[in-house]
Amino acid sequence: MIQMVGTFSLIWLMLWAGLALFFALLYPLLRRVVLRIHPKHGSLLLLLYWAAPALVGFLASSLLFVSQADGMLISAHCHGACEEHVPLLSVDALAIGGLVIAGLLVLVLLFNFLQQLAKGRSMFKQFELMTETRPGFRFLDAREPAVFTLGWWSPRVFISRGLLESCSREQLAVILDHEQAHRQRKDNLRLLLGRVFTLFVPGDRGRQIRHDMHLLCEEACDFVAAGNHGVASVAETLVHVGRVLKNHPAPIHSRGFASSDLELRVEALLAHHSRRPIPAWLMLVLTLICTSLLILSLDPLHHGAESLIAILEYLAHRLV
Amino acid sequence: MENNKHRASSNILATNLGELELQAMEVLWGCPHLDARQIRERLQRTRQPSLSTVQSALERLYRKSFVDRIKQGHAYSYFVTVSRGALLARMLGEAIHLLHDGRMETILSSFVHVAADMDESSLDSLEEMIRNYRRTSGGNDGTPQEGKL
Repeated sequence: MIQMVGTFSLIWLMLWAGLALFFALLYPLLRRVVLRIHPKHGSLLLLLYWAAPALVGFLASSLLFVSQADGMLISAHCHGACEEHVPLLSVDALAIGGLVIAGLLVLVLLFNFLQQLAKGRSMFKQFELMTETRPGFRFLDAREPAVFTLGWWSPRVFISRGLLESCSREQLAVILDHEQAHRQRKDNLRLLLGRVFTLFVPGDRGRQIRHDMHLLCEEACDFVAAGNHGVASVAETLVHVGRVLKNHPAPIHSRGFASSDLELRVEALLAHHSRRPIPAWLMLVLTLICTSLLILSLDPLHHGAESLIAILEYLAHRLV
Repeated sequence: MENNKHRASSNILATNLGELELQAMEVLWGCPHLDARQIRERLQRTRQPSLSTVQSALERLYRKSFVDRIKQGHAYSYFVTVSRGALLARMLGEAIHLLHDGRMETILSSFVHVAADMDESSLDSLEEMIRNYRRTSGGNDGTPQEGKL
């Protein structure tokens, strides 16, 4: 049992990492497309694109242990004397190593998430006690301008007196519609999944992908708000709030981004005619193409996984 | 008044405050110079905590320098040393600090991120772009197409 779970874990993680790096190489091509279509579709496509390495890797690793797939999804083949088709790592240390790595990864991710959740919950309780309820948001009686959303399952919008005094009723409505769209789209869940899926994409490319995901979510919510208030009003609100935050002695600068998302969001709103939604027929064609590619990739991935097992065992024997 | 403790209130993070501690602060902001028993009576909670729980919370607040105290008979009389506005500003400061590094972006997010390198002229040119858009669209504010999925 340990051998099976260990083999599966190690091969899945290696396939996932390998495919993620391959997808990262192709990403500049996709980036041009997702940043030019409707952000609602762009953000979804981006999430699906980065979910693919983990999911395809999972499927290919699972098929190693399903002998019925032989001849259907995978070309019929034999190992040695054509024994039952379940390739396992025969070196115990490798199987245990795979199990330990997968376990550690899950623990680290879980710890990181729970730590954020606990911190967010504690902040949430404090702000709840120190703020007043207003229609659609919580009012912070502080001079410092601030507007942020805090929480996981039912996030709340917090707006300070400093910001509210400088905003018109229309601008406040834009802010609340934008934040409400985040809640309806479950953007915090999308961003969390995005972070997990891009775990194996290193350095600047990984940061760029996470920035793009964040930007597309923000743009999608801007477009929702623009549906009620018009693109120019939303763009004006963005610039106005940006200016208020910028002019404060302790502005909310983001070190995580090389450039301001404010500029990109305003440009996206003003160019909304060119950010068209993907038509249903094209979505259907894309789904068919992706499904065909997935089926076609399973055979080489399966044999690749078997080769990986053989290489790992060879290396382990050499080392031992 | 006890002044024999080392205090550096500016270094204290607002998140060090628990729910009961904050509620005790609320009571003291409304009515300073109360002892633990009086604070307990004024707490608005569905389940009233025991006197020793309130005393422990006040002791923690005292150690964190959010309250000070004067011995009156057998009991301490407490008063706040940080105004409500100052505490809220400190809490906001911490939230802004967390927004800075982006590590909690799935739980805490800002309506707008302003990059450090963005200056007034960039904001001016964005406003100019919006004015141009309004002019060219003939005053029509414009609404984007709805993407259905």
